[in-house]
Amino acid sequence: MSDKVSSAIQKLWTSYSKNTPQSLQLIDTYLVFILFSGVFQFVHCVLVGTFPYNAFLAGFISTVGSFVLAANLRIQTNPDNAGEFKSISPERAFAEFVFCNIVLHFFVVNFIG
Amino acid sequence: MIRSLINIISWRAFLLVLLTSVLVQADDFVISDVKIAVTTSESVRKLYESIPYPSSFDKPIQLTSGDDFKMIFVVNDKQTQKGVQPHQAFLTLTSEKNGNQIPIIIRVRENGKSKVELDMKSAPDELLSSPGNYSLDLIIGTFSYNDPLKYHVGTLEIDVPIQSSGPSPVVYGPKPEIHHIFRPDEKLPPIWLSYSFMAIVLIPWVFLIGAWAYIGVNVSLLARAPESSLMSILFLGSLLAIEILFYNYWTHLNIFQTLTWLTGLSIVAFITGQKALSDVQKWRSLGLR
Repeated sequence: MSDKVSSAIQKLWTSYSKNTPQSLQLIDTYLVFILFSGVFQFVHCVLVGTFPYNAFLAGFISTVGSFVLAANLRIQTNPDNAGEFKSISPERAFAEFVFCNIVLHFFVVNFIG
Repeated sequence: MIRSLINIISWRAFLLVLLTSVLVQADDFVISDVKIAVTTSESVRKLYESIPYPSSFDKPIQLTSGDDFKMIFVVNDKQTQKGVQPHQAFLTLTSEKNGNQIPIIIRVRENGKSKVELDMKSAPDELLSSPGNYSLDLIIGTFSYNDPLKYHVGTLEIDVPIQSSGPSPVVYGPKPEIHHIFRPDEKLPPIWLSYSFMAIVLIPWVFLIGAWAYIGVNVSLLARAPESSLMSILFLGSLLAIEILFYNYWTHLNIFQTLTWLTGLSIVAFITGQKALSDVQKWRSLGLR
């Protein structure tokens, strides 16, 4: 039973690394990075409580927001989805991603205090 | 001569009319059915007398500790001889030794009947700490009546042991100072825990850089086309400058300076970004990426 699961995972991994274009793989690693950042911050909050609550919220919301924006970028730059996003080229998607991230960072820095 | 006589008579007559008119308008109180009773602490009736108003009770009334002094009377209006309820009714005990006055408020019912009680068990401290003779007066007044009533009922002889209670309690003086204690600061987690979590949260960066290096961020095109690579470098540099600006905003800038810098840097980022990204698009369409 367990080796079936492990072989399935192995197959998924090889297929992923072969078939996914490099740009998407880069974005995927960025997504994992953001995810772990958020998870570690949440664990710290659970351990020691929410004393500077605004600081915790700012950090956590920044990870959540960045994750959402990066996922959006991945969706929009995926060549398989090109049919749905005719008017938005990948470069434009990337520019919007950059702009939204800057706005998010500005609000997060405001809220950290 | 007749004329001066008439003048004198008319002046006197005028005064008489004035006085009687004042007298006729005067509202007065009259007390009736005054009875006093003193009961000891063992409920033995020590004294029971009825006093005809307006004369006072001639013998001093003796009160020791534990006694209960009661007085009932009826307040009437002099004109109508009917019971009235005055606005203010007090029984004052005036010390003959030092002139201290102790008031006792009397509740008068609507028909004028009233009852007042002075229980030595619950008497005010000023009375219990200074024995001696006290003059007992009944004071009645109402706002619409011109003449209040002060009726000397009798003399009270308070017989309590002299208490050297030290300095008498100051009733209307400054109270003790209140020292406000501010809410204690929130407890912070131990510092080693905070530092270790700071390190833990920065680990994903290491993972990211490692993974990007592994997958191979391709910078090969940068070498081939220097001017557009310049644009890319400038674009990324302006983004980095914006992040540094945000860090400065967190540490020491205020929002107006930040917004000023931000507008400048965002214009730079926009221009370089547009150029760089259009170059990337050109490469993509040419199939170079």
